This record gives sequence, structure tokens and C-alpha cells, in this order.
Amino acid sequence: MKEAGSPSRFPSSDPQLDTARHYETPEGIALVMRVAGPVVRAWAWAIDLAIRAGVYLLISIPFAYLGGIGTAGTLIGFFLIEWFYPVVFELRSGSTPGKQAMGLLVLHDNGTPVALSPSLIRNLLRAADFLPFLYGAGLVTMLLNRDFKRLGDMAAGTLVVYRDIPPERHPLPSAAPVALPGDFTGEEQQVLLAFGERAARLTRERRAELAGILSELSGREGEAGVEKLYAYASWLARGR
Amino acid sequence: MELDKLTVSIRPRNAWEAIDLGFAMARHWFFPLWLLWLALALPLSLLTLWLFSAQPALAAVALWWFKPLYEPPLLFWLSRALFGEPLALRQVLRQWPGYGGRQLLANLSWRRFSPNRSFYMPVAVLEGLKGKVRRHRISVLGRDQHAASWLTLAGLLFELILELSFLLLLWVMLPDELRPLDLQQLLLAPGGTVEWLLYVADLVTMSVIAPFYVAGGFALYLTRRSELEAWDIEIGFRRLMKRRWPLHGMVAGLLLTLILLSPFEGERLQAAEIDRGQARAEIQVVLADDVFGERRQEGYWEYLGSSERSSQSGFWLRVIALLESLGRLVARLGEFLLWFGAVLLLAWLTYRIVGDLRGKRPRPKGEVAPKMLPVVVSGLDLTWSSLPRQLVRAVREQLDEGYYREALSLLYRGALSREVHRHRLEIPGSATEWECMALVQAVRPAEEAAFFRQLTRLWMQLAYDHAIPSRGQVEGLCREWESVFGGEE
Repeated sequence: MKEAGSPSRFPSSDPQLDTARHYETPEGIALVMRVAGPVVRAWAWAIDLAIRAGVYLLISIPFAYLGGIGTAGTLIGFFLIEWFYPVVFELRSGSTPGKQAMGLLVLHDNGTPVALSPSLIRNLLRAADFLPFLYGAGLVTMLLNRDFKRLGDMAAGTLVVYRDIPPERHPLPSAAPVALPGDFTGEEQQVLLAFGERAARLTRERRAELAGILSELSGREGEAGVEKLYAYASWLARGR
Repeated sequence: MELDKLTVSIRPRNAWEAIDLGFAMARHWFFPLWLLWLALALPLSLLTLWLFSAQPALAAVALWWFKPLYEPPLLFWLSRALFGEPLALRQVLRQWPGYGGRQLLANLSWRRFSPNRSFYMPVAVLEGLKGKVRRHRISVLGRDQHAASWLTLAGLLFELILELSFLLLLWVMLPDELRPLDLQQLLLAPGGTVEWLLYVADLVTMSVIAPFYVAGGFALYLTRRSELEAWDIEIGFRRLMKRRWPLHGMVAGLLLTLILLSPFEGERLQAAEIDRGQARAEIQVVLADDVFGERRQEGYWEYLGSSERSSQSGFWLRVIALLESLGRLVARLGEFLLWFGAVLLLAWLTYRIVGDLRGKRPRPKGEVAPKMLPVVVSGLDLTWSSLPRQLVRAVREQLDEGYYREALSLLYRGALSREVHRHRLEIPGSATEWECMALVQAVRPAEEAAFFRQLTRLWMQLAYDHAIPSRGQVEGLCREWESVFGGEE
């Protein structure tokens, strides 16, 4: 059983503290959403602010030569951008350029892409989050809320999560593949593969220590155990 | 100090996610962390106030400067809570000289402006490294890590935002009559109310943000360490062992212990050896120290009655009285509504709880898949151990007793299980019956596929259409089973 693209390698049922939220679809597929907290969202917002400031500048310079009409145009432009910049981008790709840069994404609570009305709600309510000063209310609610939601997110039923980026793959050490004895869950296979990929960057002692945990499985101790686990990983990577 | 006991989920995370984990930790354990911070910061703030009683701004700077003094206890407490053994607050404070005093001078002078303060603090406070070793450790930990500086900057901005929000909120809440009067006084008079207000706001916002900042840095450190030392792989391996060799897993867990705070282990054991009476006496002595005292002076406004009679005419007085009685009426109505709502809520909760209790019945065995089993398709448990050894005989026994549904379910699960385990068919966990059938037809010989198709059809008719098959049909399937999969094992 392969669980392709699962962002959390070890989804567990333990009540451990985590920022990952699990949602199970009716088909029995477990979606994992990693909610994003105030720090990364603040910087994403700062990037968006810089972009908007640049656009305002670009708009106001040509309009400045047009007198009264120009002022009107500038103000209308400011209004439209201030209120609909996030909405347009969220509907297009799920995230504003700032969020995109920080690897964030806006979703509904159930993991579906954000639709027009929730996006409008969460962005119009920025006015409430902004009070009393520079998102003070939003910051406090994000610190209080389990899913780091600001008021707009609560009203719209949306989550800001990390985009699932395929993890960086490292080459496996070359070893003659050896078949795994017995059945292993997807998670267990993944952890064996992860060992194969990451062991090279561990210290020799740590590597042997880790392989020692599985000495029952590999029937080897120390460096030989490590080699055996490499062989399993190489067998798993080849595909059965 | 075993990874099995971690109260925080360890998995590969990027630095931003690590900070978020820290924020989740700070939120979860906010009150102990907050109290710990205040326990040291409040006495010190009193001291600074006494020293700079004329210049609250200087006192605020001092309070800010001495942050590295009150942050180590939070870190120490977190490092213990991480492994499921939260300490009592006074225990943490008592041990402060052990961890908090380490490299304090450096922390308060040239390292005070390090943007990575929170990230590197565990190296000094928890690992107790210094000099060259510390520098080496930090160079390894800090390779390609930039988020800690952004965390510090964000913490600073968050403090600013919270403080200004707090002040603005106060300002907005002030009655109109008081405002313009105070504004001039507030802004112009040095050492006036506004500076004291700023001082209080400083203290409050720093105390609120500190747990998040310290926990954020700690989580960064933790994530980086777990990445460098592959904690997640260790946890995964342990789980694997636990599932396959439940008895040996325990031994392995005992053999391998991971020490986060080695220098403290000894001290902690020593502390445990003191007998209770002695410890209590010692605690009293420590607590008698001035540092643990807390003296506060609070001023407040009280309405003493108006000094002059209002000169309003009788008409306006009557209007006001009318408005007042109207207001009272509205208040009475509101109170009634609140009570009504409370009763409704209570009734609804009782209804839900009673309903839940009544609706809870033990589920038939074998239908629900326990978690962490190797193969589960469409919620059906397909492990060998969950199936009877002599499957066809078990099916026939159930038929004899008239349990057609159970019999067919067993047969279907058995067939799927054989496909998956014996023939290594790759069926995704979310596959529907039709998808399973298509997979079988694509790979397995025609006879087996035909059998599986027949079985699936009967099973689906029974499961979704409640059409009970005839005994002959199921018997036929049993015979075919034997020819397809061979006899019993």
C-alpha cells in the first residue's frame, strides 16, 4: 500500500501536540493539513504589503498628471486593490504572491480549494482583524486559536496551510536489494526508505544505533545491520 | 528521556512549521510558562521601578534588557514537559542557579543583540556547552537556518502591535469627557501617567509574547536536532518493532535512551533524595527571600457622589428618568434571555449526552479495523490474524447458523486478503469494490477473476441492496474458493 504524497510521514492517533490537522474524506482518504502560524503569515503579509505599495506607486504617478479625474482614478484603484487583491489571487491559485513566496495556501476547513464567498468574507473581515492597531485583534485570536485562525478565517471557515511540496530526495546508497521479510505498512516502508536516504548524513554511531533498534528484523548488529537496512531500502525503492 | 514519551509530534518540518509548533506548545502550556516568566520578571520590575522611580522609560528598558534572565526557566520547563514530566513551578525556580546562571554575563551583554537568541539558548541552557564546543555546535545547528532571526523580528513587532493595540483600545474605551483633557496632560507631562501606562503595557505584552518566543526558538532547536539525529526515524523504527515484536520493543526502548539534558540528571536525582521535611524547610528558606515577594501598589477611581447639583430642568430630568427605566427594562429582558439561553443550552447538552450514552453499543468484532495494521481496504481489516485459519469451515458454520451477511463478509475479506498477501496485489486503501475487482481481473487468471466477480456481485447485493443470497449460491462460492485458492492451510 503506497500512500503517495502524504505530507506527514507518520500520521499518528496519539494525542501529541502537532500543527497538522487530519481530515478524513468519505472515501476513507486521510487528508493532512499543516496549519500555518502567525510568524510565517505575518511575513507573507509583509511581502504582499510591499507589492501593493509598489502597485500604488505605479498607479498614482500617471494619474497625478490628470488632475481631479486622476485623483478619483487613483482612489478607485486603491480601493479595488486594497479589498480585492487577496480575493483575486486566492481564487486563482489559492494564495497571494506573499503567501506563495512563503509556501502557504488558503483552503476550506475540509481541505477543498477556497471559493468566492469564503474568500470574500475572510478578506472583508480584515477590517475587524486590523483593529485596534495593525492586526492586533487578528494576532490575539491567532495566538488563542488552535488552528491559528484570525477572525476572518473563523467567519469564513478557512484555514491557511502549508503547500505540500514533494520532499527533497537524496540518492540511496548502492546496495544489492534484499526482499523484506513479511508485510509492512506504508509508513514503515517510508521510514525504511527515509533511513536509506538520510543515514549518510548521520554520524556513524547514530546510524549504527538506529539500525540496532531493528536488529531483530535484520538479524545483524552494528555496521552490518546498517548495510542490511540499506539493502531493504534499495529493494523498496526498486518497486516490487 | 525516551522518545516514546514525547508529548510533541516529531516529524520532518521546515523552519516555519517548527516555529508554529513552538507557538502551539506555548498556547498549550501558556499559564505555567507565563507564571514562570512573571515569577522572575515581576520582582525585577519592582526593583527597576524602585531604582528608576523618576524615569519609567529607563525602568522599561532595564526590564527589556534583562530578558535573558527570565527566559531560561521557561526553556527548562518546556524541555521537561516535552517528555511528559512537567515540573512544579517552584522546582524550576529552585534549580534556576543551575541552568539560568550559565553564561549569564555573555547573554546579558554582547549576546543580548543576537537575533538568534531563542534558537541558541538551548545550547547553553540545556546542553551546558560553552566556548569552542558551543561555537561548533551552533555552527552545525545554524547551518542554512535563517528563521530564528525572523522569529525575533516578528516577536519584536508582535510586542509592538500588542502594546499599541492595548493602549489604543484603552483610548477608544475612555469616555469622551475624559479624553481631550487627558491627551494634553498625557503627552506633555514627563513622568506622567502615560509613561507609567506604557510601562505596564510593556510588562504585559512582554509577558504574553515571551512564552511564544521562547517556545518558538526551542521548537526550532528541537526540529533541527531531530533532523540531524533522525529522531523521526528512531520513532518510526520503534513503532515498527512494537507492532511486529511487541515484547522485544520494550527491551529496545529500555536499551536506547536519548539524553537531552544530561548534566541535570544527577542533580535531579540528588534533589529527590532529600526527605520531605528537610525539603519543605529548605523551600521555606528560599521562598523567604525578598526575590519571591510581590508587592504591588494599586490606585483606583471611586465615585464619591457629585459635588454640585445639576441645573437641568424638570423636563430633562423626567426624560432621563424615563430613559433609565427603559434601560432597566431592557437589562431585565436581557437577563431573562440569558437565563433562558443557559437553560436551553443545559437541556440540549443533557439531551446530547444521554443520547450518546444510549447510542453507544459495542461493535461486532472484526468489522472495525484497529489502527496501524498493515493492510486495510475500504475499512475492511485484511490481516492474517483477523481471519480464522480455516476460513471455509468458518463460513459454513456461519451459514448453518443463518448468518449470511457475516458469512459472505468473511468470504469477501478472505478473498481480498489472499489477493493482497499471497499474490501481492497492490490495492490502495481507498479502493472501492469495483476498483478491487478491476485490479483482480487485470492481473489474475480468468478463473480466479470470474470467482472474484461473482463474489463481489453477491457481496455488493447483500451489503447495499440487502438481498440475501441463497444457501446454494454461497455454498457454490465456497467450493470455488477451494478450487481457486486451494484447500485450507
